[in-house]
This record gives sequence, structure tokens and C-alpha cells, in this order.
Amino acid sequence: MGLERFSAGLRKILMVAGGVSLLALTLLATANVALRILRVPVGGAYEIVSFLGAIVTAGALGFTQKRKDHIVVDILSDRFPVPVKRALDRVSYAIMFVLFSIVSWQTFVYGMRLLATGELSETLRIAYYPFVFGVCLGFAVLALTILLDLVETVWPGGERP
Amino acid sequence: MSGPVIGVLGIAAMFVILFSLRIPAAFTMALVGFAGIALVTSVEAAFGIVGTEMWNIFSSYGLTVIPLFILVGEIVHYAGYNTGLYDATYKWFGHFRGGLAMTTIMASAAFSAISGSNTATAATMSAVAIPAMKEYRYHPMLNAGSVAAGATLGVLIPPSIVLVVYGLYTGQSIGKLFFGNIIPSAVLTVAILGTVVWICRVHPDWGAAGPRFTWKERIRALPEAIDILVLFGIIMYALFTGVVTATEAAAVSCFLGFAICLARRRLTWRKFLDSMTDTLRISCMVFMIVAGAVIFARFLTITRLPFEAAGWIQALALPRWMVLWVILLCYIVGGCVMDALAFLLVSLPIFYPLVIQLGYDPVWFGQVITIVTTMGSIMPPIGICCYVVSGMSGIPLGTVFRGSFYYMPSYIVSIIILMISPYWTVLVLSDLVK
Repeated sequence: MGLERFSAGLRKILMVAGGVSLLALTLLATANVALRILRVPVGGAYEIVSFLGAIVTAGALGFTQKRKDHIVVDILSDRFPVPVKRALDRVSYAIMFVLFSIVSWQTFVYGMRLLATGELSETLRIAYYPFVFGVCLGFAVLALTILLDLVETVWPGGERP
Repeated sequence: MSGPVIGVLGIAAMFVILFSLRIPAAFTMALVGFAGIALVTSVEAAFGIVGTEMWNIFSSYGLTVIPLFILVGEIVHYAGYNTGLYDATYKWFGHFRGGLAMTTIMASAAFSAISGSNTATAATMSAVAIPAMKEYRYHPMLNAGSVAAGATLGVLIPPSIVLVVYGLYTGQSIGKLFFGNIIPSAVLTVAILGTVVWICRVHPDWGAAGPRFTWKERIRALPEAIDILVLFGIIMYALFTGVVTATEAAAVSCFLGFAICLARRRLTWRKFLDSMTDTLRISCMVFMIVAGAVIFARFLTITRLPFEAAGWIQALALPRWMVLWVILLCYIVGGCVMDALAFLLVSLPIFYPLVIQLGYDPVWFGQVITIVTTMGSIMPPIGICCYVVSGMSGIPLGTVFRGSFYYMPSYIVSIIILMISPYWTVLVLSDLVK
């Protein structure tokens, strides 16, 4: 239960970060249009917009999984008996957990490589690895949410043997 | 084992996992793509690709247009413009037989001009139109079918997410795609409206006529629609002049959408939060589909299956129109078994080069493929619009699918019209864009 509360907290924080990023990129892109009309465009605004865009999506990964919003083709599996369905759910969650743990880990490795090589963005020349770590965190929360879904199918309602 | 054979096995594995396990379509594509790349190249290469590819997709400037176009639709939805639009259209057309169903389709078209997603349009119209049609004792098939068919316009009418993704994938101008889409959208909207008229002629008891309103009442209902028209006009004008990118046009429309809703005191803090939450989760769903499809397509490219498949189809030496119909048939079947946007992305590497080689215009092909894709969203077994309509209205899913089935010929007719004259249906407007 403690882990679930921790996970819920992380999901909420990331959703807020995603929402703030969405508003920030809306304002930045709008301001850039207005400033371009006044002939003082913000150089490299598109880079910041792209980085904020990454946080918008990454921020919602855990929340969207918790709500089970992703489209599942269950026309066949819905006809299976309940024990088979439960077993399939466990297998599915286990596979998804491994997949997104790898994605999170590899995004982290990519971020570390950017940090180590001191790579900067093309126009603004800013270090953008923090945004890469943001995406890594999004996938980590997605993996954690899936893990808790897996635990829930094994021990429904938080009961333990 | 040769590369193309592994590619075919990968596609088969994807369908097996999709149907037997309960893994979302987006994740299945990423999973099979990842495993396939590991098999064909190496595990290290597959690790490297998923890490960098996810970042590249999430931080793609072009794709930032997706959450923005979803946001503007959500703001307008939560501000209650859907009800106003519906009311205005009802006062003008509600007195015809099947008038409420026609109203639903026209209001959906108007709402689609500001929303890029069919699920948002389906949810919006389900909440507004279905209770009204129930009150007038419309037949459930006409009721639910018209809402689901109308909602497909959400993906077709600009700003369209499918066109954005198609444009980014094929390098076509989004402005040209949006302008080229105006006539096809009008053709499909008229075809769907014609279907309502036909249904009501065959089954006169399915949709009773509503009361007739005075001209004063009709004109008084119009200001609601004008706000939406202004927002749509700004997006299209900005894209037409080419002075802004699609992302900037979407951002400006979001900003103005907020400003208009606040000025008219239609947006509370609660509604604002709800519109943000819905935008984030819908964007996340779309991005994961794009990411999964890109990883899967990367795997297919490594296996060289797309090039080989294009060669096989060319070797058949069929007339080019027949090749095109074979491709469209693949999209129709593909749209039945997996998410239409996902299938579009997975199949584009195979079909796009072939279509271009056959001499078809890429902007025109984008319109044809978008109409086919929209059709997938009301086709069983996974037509997403029907699920939304059924979920929100309580009308059984089977009834919604049967009701939607009446509208299938309108999509086919629209495609045939587009094929008869690519210039007068698409290029005449898209070529005007700078």
C-alpha cells in the first residue's frame, strides 16, 4: 500500500509537470509568433518547445496506464474463462514491466551519455539531458504502475499469503 | 532465415500477441519491434534504438502539434461550445425528418474543425446528441450510428491528427494537407448526411421531425458558432500564409481558445483542469501509438520487407488503380483488426514508396488514406468511436456497430469521387498554399 501511495504521488507530480510544460509551450510558441511579427523572434524557441513537448507526454505515462486508457484488442481474450484471463493479465503485465524497465533504463543510459559528453542543443547551446532524464522518469513511473497492476492481479485487494 | 521472412513472422507475432494477450496495441508494436531488432541485429542495437528512438519521438517538434490541437478541442468541449453548436444547428435543421441526426453530423463537423481527435468528438456528441435523439424516440441504430459516423469527421476535418502524423512521416507540408482536405471533408460530410436522408426514407419511423423555429430564433443561436469559425479561420489562415509552423498555429489557437472562453466566462478552474488532464492522457495514447509504430516500422525496414513487398506488388503488373484498391483494401482490413493510426504508421513504409512510384500525388494519397483510416474507427471489432458512443450512451455495442454500418458506402463513394478527379477534389486547394 505504501508503494501504491508513493506511485500515485509520483504520477500526480509528473502530471502536473506535464500540464505546466503544455501551458509553457503554448505560451512560448504564441509569444514567438507575436515577437516574429514585431521582428524580434526568440531564437531557438522551437528547441525549448520540443523539450517541453517531451515532458508533456512523459508526464502522462503513469496516469494513462493507471486509467487503462491504451487501446487493448480484447475481443478474443474477453471470451476466455476468468482464470485464463487472470493468467494472461499476469503474463501481459510481466512482459510490459520488463519492456518499459528496459526503455527507462536505456533512456537513462542515453541521458548519462549526453551528460558525460557535454552535448548541447544545436541552436541555443544548452544542456538538454535533464529533459532526457524527465522522459526516463516517466517510463520508470509507467513501469512501476504496471508492476503494481501485476501485484494486484496476483494478490487482489492487497491481501498477502 | 532471410530478412523479409523474419519481417512476415514479426507481423504474425504482433497479431498473435495483440489477440491472445491483453497488451495494448501501442505496446505490442514496440515489444515486437524491439524483439525483432534484437533478433535481426543484436540486443545491444535494440537497446540503443529504444532509448534514443523514444526520446526522438517524444521531443519531436513536429509532433508537439498533437497535444496542442487536442487541447484546443478539449477547452472548447469543456467550455460547453458543443451544446451551443448543437443547439444552433438544431434550430436550422431540426425540423426535417431525421433532423436531429443531421444536426449531430453537422455539429460534429463544426466541432471537428477545432478538434483533431475522433474520440473527443465522439465523447462530446454522445453527451449532447444521444439524450436529445432519445427524447424524440429516434431508433437506437440511427441515433448511435449518426453520432459514431459524425465523430469520424474529427480525424478527417482539419486540424486532423492523422494528417499531421502522415505529413511528418512523409515530409509533406501540413498546410497543404489541411487545405487539400477541405473538399474531401465536405464530400464525406455531404455523403454521410445523404445517408441519413436515405435511412429516413427507407425507415420513416426511425427519426421523427422536430419543431420548426422562427428565423429570429435561428439567427439568435448563431454567435456560438461564430467563435468556433473564428478559431478555425485563424488556424487555416495562419497555415495558408505559411508564416507560422503547424505547432505555432495550434499554440495560437489554444491561446485564443483560452482567451475567448475566459472572456465569455465559460471556463471554470475545474473545467480547465479536466481539459488539461484529458489532453495529457489522449496525447500520451497517441504518442505511444506513434512510438510503437515507429519502432515496429524500424524493425520492418531492417528486414527489408517493405522493399521486397513493393517489388512483389509491382511484379504483379496490375493497372495502377487496381494496385491502389488493393492497398486500400489492406487498410480497411488492417483498420478492422488494429488501431487505424497504428496500422497507418506501420504500413506507410511499405505502401507509400509504391504509391509514389505509381505516380499518385502524395497530398492526394494522404486524403484518401485518411478517409479509409476514419472508416476504421467505426468498423468492428475495434472501431474506437463505436466503443466511446456505446460506453457513454449505454446503447449496446452491437447496435452501435450495426447503426454505423449504414454509413460505410458514404466513405467508399467519397474515395471514388477523389479518384475520379484528384485535381478538382484535392490539388486545386492544396496547390494554393505557399
